[in-house]
Amino acid sequence: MTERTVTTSEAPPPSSAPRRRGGRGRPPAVPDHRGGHASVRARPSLSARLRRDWQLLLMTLPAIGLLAVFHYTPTLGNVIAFQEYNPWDGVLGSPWVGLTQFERLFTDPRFWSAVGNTLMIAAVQLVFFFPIPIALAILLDSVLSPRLRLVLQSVVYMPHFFSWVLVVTLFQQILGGAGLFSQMLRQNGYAPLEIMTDPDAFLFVVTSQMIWKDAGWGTIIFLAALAAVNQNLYESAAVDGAGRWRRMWHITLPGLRPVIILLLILKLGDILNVGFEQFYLQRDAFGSNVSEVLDTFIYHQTLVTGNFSAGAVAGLVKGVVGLVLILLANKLAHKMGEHGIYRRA
Amino acid sequence: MPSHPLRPAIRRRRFLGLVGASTTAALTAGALSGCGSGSGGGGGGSASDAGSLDDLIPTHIPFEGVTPDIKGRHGAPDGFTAYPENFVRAMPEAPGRGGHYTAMTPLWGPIPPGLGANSFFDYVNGRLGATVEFNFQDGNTVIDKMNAVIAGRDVADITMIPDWTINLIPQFNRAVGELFEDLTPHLAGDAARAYPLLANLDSDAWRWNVFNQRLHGVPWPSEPFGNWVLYRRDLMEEYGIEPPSSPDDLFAIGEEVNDPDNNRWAFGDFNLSMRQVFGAPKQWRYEGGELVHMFETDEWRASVEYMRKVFDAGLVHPDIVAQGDNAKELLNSGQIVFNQDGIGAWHEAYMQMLGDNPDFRLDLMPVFGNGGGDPVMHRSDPSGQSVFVRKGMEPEQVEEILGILDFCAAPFGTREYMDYRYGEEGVHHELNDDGAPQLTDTGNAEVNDGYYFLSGRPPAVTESQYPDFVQWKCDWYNHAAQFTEEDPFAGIRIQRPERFSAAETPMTDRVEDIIRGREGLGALDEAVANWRRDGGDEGREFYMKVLQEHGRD
Repeated sequence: MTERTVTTSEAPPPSSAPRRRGGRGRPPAVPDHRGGHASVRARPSLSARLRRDWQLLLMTLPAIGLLAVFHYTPTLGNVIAFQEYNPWDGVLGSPWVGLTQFERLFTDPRFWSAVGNTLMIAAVQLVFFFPIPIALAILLDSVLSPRLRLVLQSVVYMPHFFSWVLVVTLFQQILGGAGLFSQMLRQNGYAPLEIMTDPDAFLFVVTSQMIWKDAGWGTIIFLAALAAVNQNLYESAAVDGAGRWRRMWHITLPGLRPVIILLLILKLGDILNVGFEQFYLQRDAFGSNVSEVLDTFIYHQTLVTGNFSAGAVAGLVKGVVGLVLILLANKLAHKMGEHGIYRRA
Repeated sequence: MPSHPLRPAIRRRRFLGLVGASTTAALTAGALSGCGSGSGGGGGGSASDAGSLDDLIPTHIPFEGVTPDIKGRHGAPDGFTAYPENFVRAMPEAPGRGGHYTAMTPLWGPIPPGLGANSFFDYVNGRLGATVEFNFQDGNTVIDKMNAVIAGRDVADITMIPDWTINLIPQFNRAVGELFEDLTPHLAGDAARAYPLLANLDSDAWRWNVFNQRLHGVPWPSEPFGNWVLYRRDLMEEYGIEPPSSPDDLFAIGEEVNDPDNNRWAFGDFNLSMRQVFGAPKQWRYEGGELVHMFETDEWRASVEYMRKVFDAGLVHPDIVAQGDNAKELLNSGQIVFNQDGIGAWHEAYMQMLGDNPDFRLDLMPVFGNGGGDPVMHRSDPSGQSVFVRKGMEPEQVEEILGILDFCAAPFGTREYMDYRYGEEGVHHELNDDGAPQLTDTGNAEVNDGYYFLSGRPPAVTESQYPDFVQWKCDWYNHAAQFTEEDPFAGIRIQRPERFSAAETPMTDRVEDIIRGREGLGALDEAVANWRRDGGDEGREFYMKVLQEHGRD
C-alpha cells in the first residue's frame, strides 16, 4: 500500500493529474532514464508522464481490473439495501422502500446484541491477541541458529493453514467434555472440564483458538520489520552499556512502531469483521446469546430467510462503520507523526 | 410379465444423507421449517387443495412387473430381501427419438468424465435412444447455483431441483410458470398412460409438484419418515436390555448404560424424535376451529422438558452438547448408544462398519407414545426433488423428454433400473454371488447418479446385502407408519410468510439454550410469547386463511 502511494505521488494517474499541478514543487524523485528533458521545477505534462510511466501503469492494470470486477462493481449491489429486493425481479424490478430496511434493522434487539458481541470480541482480541505476534516475532528473531529458527517458524505458521472446522474440533477433542483432559480428570476422580460449552468461557475459548491459529502467521510482517532494523544500532548500544531490555525498548520497539501502528489501524477498520466460521461452528455449543456476531446475524437474516435486503443493510452499516474507524485512526496516526495507511500529501 | 420377488426401489436414504452432508442438520432444518414453500406470492397466497388437484395429476397405475417380499402398509415402503435372479424389462423399446437434451442436476461426489469420454453415458444414452448431456452442479452449493440460474432465467432442457432448494429460491412460484413447461396436458389423468413408470409414482408426490394450479414437476417420491432414533442393538443385547417402550423406560435405560468413565454416554441428540413420541404436531394442529402451533402445545413442552432432564442427568455426550459434527462416529464406535439421524444413516453405517465388526448391529428405536398414548409420526414432504422441462420446447420434444424420465423412473428389479444406476453388466458392473451389482474400475470412474436424479421411483428397502436389515427396517416401518400425523395442510405447497420463518431462528436458539441448561425451563413462556409477537401470530393468520381458501376449516 505504502509503496504504491509513493509511486502515485510521483506519477499520479491521469484523472488526478490537474489537481496536483504546481503543488509544492516537489521534484520528481525518479531520474529520467530517457534523456533528462524533465524539468526539476515543473511537473512534466500528462502526456510526458504517460509516456514515461506507461509500463508502470500497465503493470497496475491487472490489480485495477481485479478491484473493479470483484470489489467496485459488486459494491453497486448495495442499492438493494433501499429495496424490498427479490432476485427474480432483480434490482430494476424490485420496489424501492427508502430507509425501511434500516429502520427494521435498528429496532431489532438481536442486531444490537450481535453488535455488542462483536465489539466485545474485537476488544478482547485487540488487547490479548494483537500484542502476541509482536512478542513472538521478537522471540523468534532472537533465536540465533538459523536452522532452529526455520523449524520454529514453520511450526508456528502451520496452524494458520488449518480450517476453522479443524481448529474447533481439535479444541473440542482436547478440552471438550469428552476430550483428552476431561477423560484424564474423570479417570482420576475429578470433575471434567466444561469450558467448551460454558457461555462465560466463550471469550476465553475463541481468543485462545485465534491465538493458537493465527499468532504465528501474524509474526511474518513483524519479522520483516525486525530484519530492517540496523544491526549497528545494537552494537553501538551494547558498547554504550545498554542491556538486553534497554536495547529492546530503545531500538527494537521503535523500529517496529510504524508497522505496529499500520496494523493497528487496519485492525480497527476491520473491527466488525471478527470472523464467521469460528462463531457459526460454535453457536450451539455456547448459545447464540454470546456467539451471535454481525456476520452470523447477517447470514441468518439473509440466507436462512431469503431476505437479501436485510443482509445488505447490515453489511452496509458494517462497512460504513469500518471506513469511519479507519479514517479516524489514520488521522490520529498522522497527528502522532506516523505514516498511517497512506502518506499524507 | 414374469413375476419376480422385486419391486420399485430407491436410495433416497443415501440421497438424503448426501444432500445434507450432515443429515441431522438437514433434517432439523426440514422438520422445523415444516411445510415447504414454493407456491403463492411474496408472503401471501398458496397452492391449491390436494383434493382439487386430482384433475391435474396422473392417474395412479401401479407397475405390476415386480413383487416385493415384504409389502409396506400404511404408506410404508416395500421391502426386498434379495436381489432378483432376472431383471424385468419394464420398457419394450427405447423411449427416445434421437434428440439431444441438456440436463442440469446436482451431484454429490466427484464430477465424472463428460459426454464423449464416458462410456456409461454412451451406454445409457444408447438405451434411451436419445442423448442427455449433463451439466452437474456441486450438490453442497446447489442453492447458490440454482438461485443464479433461476434469476438469470438460464435453465437446461431438463432441470432437477431438490425440494429444500425450491423452498429457498425466492419467488420460485413466479419463476416456475415462466421458465418451465406446463406438464399438465402431457400427464394429467389418463394422459400419463403413455408413461407407465411415471404413472406408477405416488399421487401425493405428484400433487406436491403442482404450482399455481399447473403440474410442472416430475416428483421423487420420498419415504414417509426422514429421521428417527437409531440405537446400537448389539450393545443392548450385550447388556441384556430390552429396547425401550416409553419415555421413562428410555430414560432408565439411558441411566443404566451411561458410563462416562469408560467413554460411553447414553445419548446423542434426539429432540425431533421425542416431539413425535410426546405427540406434538409437526407444525400446526387444527382443533376447535383454531390452529395451534407446535411451540404452543403441552406435548412439545413436555418433549423439551424431557430433553432437559436427559441433559441434566449427564446422559448426553459432551461433543453433542458442543454441537460436534461427529454423532455418526460416536454411535458407530459405541461412545453413544442412542442417536437420532436420517434413517439412511443406518445402512451407511453398515457399509462402513460391518467389514471390521461383523457383529455390529443398529436398529430403529421402537415407536412408542407417552403415558400409553399414541405417538404422532411426522410425515416428510412427499417429494424430495422436482424435475422440470424448459419452457418453449416443441410438444414432441417434451414428449421425448418425458419418455426419458419415464425410463429413469423404472423401479428396483427392472433391467432399466440396473442400466441407469449401474451401467452395462460386464463393463461397468459385475453381479456378485448374491446377484448384487459391484462396480468395476471403469464403473467407479464413470458411473454416476445423473440419470438416477432425472426422475423418482417408489421408495423401497432393498439393501439385502446387510444381515436382517430389510426385515428389521420394514418391521419398524409397518408399525410406525400407522401413527402418521394427519396434517391439516397435507398436499398443499405453502410459501411461508417471511416474518414467520424469521421468527424461528431466535426461537430454536432459545430452545437450544434451555435444552442445554443455559436457561431455565421458565424461559419457554417468554420465548413462545416473543415468537408469537415476531411472526408466529402472523403465520397463524396466514395459515388459517390457507385452510379457509381450501375449504378445510
